[in-house]
Amino acid sequence: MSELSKAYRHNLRGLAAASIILALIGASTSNSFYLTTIIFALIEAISAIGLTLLFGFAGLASLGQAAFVGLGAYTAALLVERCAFPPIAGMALAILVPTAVGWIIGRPLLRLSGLYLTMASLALGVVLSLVFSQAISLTGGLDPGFMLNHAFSLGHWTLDSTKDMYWVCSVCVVLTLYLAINLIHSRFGRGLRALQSSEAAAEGSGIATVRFKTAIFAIAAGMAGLSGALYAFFMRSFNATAFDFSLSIELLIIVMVGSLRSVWGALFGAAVVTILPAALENFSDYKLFIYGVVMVLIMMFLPDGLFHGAVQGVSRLLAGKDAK
Amino acid sequence: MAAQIFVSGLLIGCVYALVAWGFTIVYNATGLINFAAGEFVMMGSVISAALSIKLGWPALIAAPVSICAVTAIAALMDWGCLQRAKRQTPLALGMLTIGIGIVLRGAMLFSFGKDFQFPPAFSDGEIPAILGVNIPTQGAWVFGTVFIAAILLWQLFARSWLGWSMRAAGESRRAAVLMGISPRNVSTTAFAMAGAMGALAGALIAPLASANYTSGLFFGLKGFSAAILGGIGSPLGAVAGGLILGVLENIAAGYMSSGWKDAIALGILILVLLIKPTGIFGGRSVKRV
Amino acid sequence: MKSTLLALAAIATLGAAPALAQQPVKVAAVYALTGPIAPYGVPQQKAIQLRAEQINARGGWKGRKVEVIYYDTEGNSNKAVQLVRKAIETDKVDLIVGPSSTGESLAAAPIANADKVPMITHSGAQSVVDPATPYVFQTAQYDRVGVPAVLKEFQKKGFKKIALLTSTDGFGQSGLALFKEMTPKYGMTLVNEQFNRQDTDMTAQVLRAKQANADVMMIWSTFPAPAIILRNARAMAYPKPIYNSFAMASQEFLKQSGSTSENTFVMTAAMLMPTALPDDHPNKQVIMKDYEAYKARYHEPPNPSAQHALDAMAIADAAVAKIHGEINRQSLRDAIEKTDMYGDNGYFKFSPTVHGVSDRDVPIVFLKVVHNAFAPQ
Repeated sequence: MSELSKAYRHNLRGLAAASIILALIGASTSNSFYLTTIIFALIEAISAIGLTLLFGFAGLASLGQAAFVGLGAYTAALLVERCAFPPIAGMALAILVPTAVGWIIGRPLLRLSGLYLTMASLALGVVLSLVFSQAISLTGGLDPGFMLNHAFSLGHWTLDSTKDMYWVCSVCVVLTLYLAINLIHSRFGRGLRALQSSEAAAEGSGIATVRFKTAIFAIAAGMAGLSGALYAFFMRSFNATAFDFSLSIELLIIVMVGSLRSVWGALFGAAVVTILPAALENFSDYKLFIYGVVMVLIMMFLPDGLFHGAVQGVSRLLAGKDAK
Repeated sequence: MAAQIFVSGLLIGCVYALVAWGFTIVYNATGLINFAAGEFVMMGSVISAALSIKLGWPALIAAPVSICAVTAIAALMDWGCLQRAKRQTPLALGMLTIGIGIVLRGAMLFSFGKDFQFPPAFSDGEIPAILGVNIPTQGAWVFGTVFIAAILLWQLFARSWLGWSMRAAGESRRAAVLMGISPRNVSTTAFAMAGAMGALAGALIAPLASANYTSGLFFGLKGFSAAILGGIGSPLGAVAGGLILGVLENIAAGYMSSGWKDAIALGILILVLLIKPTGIFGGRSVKRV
Repeated sequence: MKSTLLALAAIATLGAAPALAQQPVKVAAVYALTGPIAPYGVPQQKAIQLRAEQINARGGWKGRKVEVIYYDTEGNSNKAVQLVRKAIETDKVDLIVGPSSTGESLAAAPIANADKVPMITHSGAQSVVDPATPYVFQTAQYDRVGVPAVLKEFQKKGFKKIALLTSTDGFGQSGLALFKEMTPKYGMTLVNEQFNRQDTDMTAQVLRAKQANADVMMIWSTFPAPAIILRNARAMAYPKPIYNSFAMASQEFLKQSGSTSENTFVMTAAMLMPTALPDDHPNKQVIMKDYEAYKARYHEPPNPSAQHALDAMAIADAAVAKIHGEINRQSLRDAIEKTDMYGDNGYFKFSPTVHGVSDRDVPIVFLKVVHNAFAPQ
């Protein structure tokens, strides 16, 4: 069996394991504080998975993902609240609209390279964040923001308790991971990996690099849109400050801390980035400093991400044991 | 009104120009994007404000001391963190500067607090209006200092050994090493200079705009935008970009919509990126795929 | 034998009862202690601490100490939601005071209602308690009442056109919406200029206000922008009167603006300068008492935002006196709903449909800045 399909089966097994773990957590936790924290982590993880594909695999540092999260959130919220769409349809469009926007913006943008793409994505993210803040009649701006009176529901079942939203987010995470894994192990994914090693060579082998990059950009945007929709349904009341530049930075940090090589890192990174501040709560004015120091240490000494470092550490331990 | 808007725009543009130039120096010497550039400005303003308000030092002593402190911190940042990072790719190091920016912001928070401080201007007195244009006293200091700094730096880069070695290290690390130039020293020097320029900008603008631990992101974004607008890699472009950005913002506020002025300025930046990514004065070609 | 047993049983129960009564009443203070609205959150934290000390010095609530647990939301709604849940589920508090801002309050309110924990917020938005929900109350009431107070004052002074300078953040947006809605009702017109709260220069906006020939300039923004606007206005000799919102009602504002705020006006809750209230104002006594207590404890006059927290605990304190049985979430909520008292924010008369402060006789005053200090007009 080839290396690649072995890896694919590993990943699928990992997915099964993750699903079981998520199910166990859901069954055993009833403290809504823990659940809320995990839900925030799951929501960010979905965007982070997309960004891992974009950044880690295609090497495109996008500093504007928050814009797509916001786009997804407002699309879902507006359609459900003002156009009486069923929530599941709102969620579907919350994925499709950012994907389409990502595709349209991506085509001209991705002709730029590296630094310029980063800058353009940054500028775009800030512009959209400003639009969300200022288009008050549409989004409610920063005050009072948007009030979503309808909870998420599937047909007859209203899913508005914390536990219900946990299940919804878990399912979405599993589905997103499944999509990501299949992408990576498809012909598309192989093209991505070729792109990563050498763009010139990839071009030579007939891979239309811009089309590829645009596709991955659009997919990452769609995943961010899903994140946004889940956020809207969970918070019910939200405003544009949730989709500003600091969210884009946080998503990038999640990928850096998690893993640039594997989408599993996104889950791990999201967990760290969500739980760490909660753990630092008691340090009041020192919180920010300590958080920064931890991030810097991870980026300095575990450049492939904390997840990767943990995985390597464990495998080294096991190898050491075997050697004995 | 037009003249006033133009001059006010130039004023803040000078500050953006300094930050953008700092960006450019680092980028030229190391190929890195320094995301902590805004925090240098913030530290320059917070430290000099603390020295003048809490210790009562005259501004003309507080500001240089603050600049020295930030220069040292910036050099330390490169020598102690960036150079010791395991992965030395521009992408990884760029992300590391994001983390270091957070550390710096956190450090300023618990060291100097959360208040907005307005330190006194460098000198008292008021300047009478010239041709209907009002400039605050501190504004004169901004213009004057930035002008002199620009000339000094220009000389430094164009004619001194330091300038040559920095440009050489930026073009080709290996060649530079062969010529006896240490890329590490160049990199540390570049960061130190970026720190100095950012801190100068911060110390200059603090009496007008206040000093606070959260202002880093704002200045970082503006400086970055200005550098790209003018053409990153070109110091002239950085300065021009800064001035243009300042004036552009003010024109948008004065004649279009003050609520949307930031969106307008950034929108123009995006257009520039799409039409001429190398910026208004940029020279180096951008790979077009 | 029986009597000994009875005596032993009685002693045992007596022994147990104080042990039960020793359990403190837990109050969660969910405030923005860092971040952009920390200038308003920190005084609220101090206010709660003052109140807790006052209450515990008297022996606490029905013999139980009041224990306050502080949570820092950084002004972020996501954190507010998390911390409120933590307070409710992990720390099992009986009462929540805060959050400080509208966004956070709107996000946290449904949780209080779902988990049945009384919450006294400090948001100034009407939508938090209108329609009134069972467990959410509000002590602050600036937005709905503050803007008409300003308009009435302007009307009194004969101003016809207002140049309203608002920040683009939530605070500015809410002010703008209210002014847009209410200015026509007072027969005045409005021009609006906006700026980013963190902007470094507002010369363009001031120029436009000058050009529009407004009779008065009203600045509606939090720190640090107003001090910058005043500098810009001074630099171009802006001729008309300038007013600031209650967000600038603090010593901090005077420090930041220095001489540029001379002869400008500030709208403020009377807590900034209780002596500016007429003696017959029904709230004057309460405000003076709290003002003196805060000043004595912290050696500085209170930022008016502290009054939302002072009122919250005063309401809780008065409510406890009405509770006949055990103090718990439900009994606190029921007792709070019967509140009828004068606080720093105004007159509180709660009912199942009214969970906010009354707009009758609201203690708002307009002060002038003279020699870098606040003075009655």
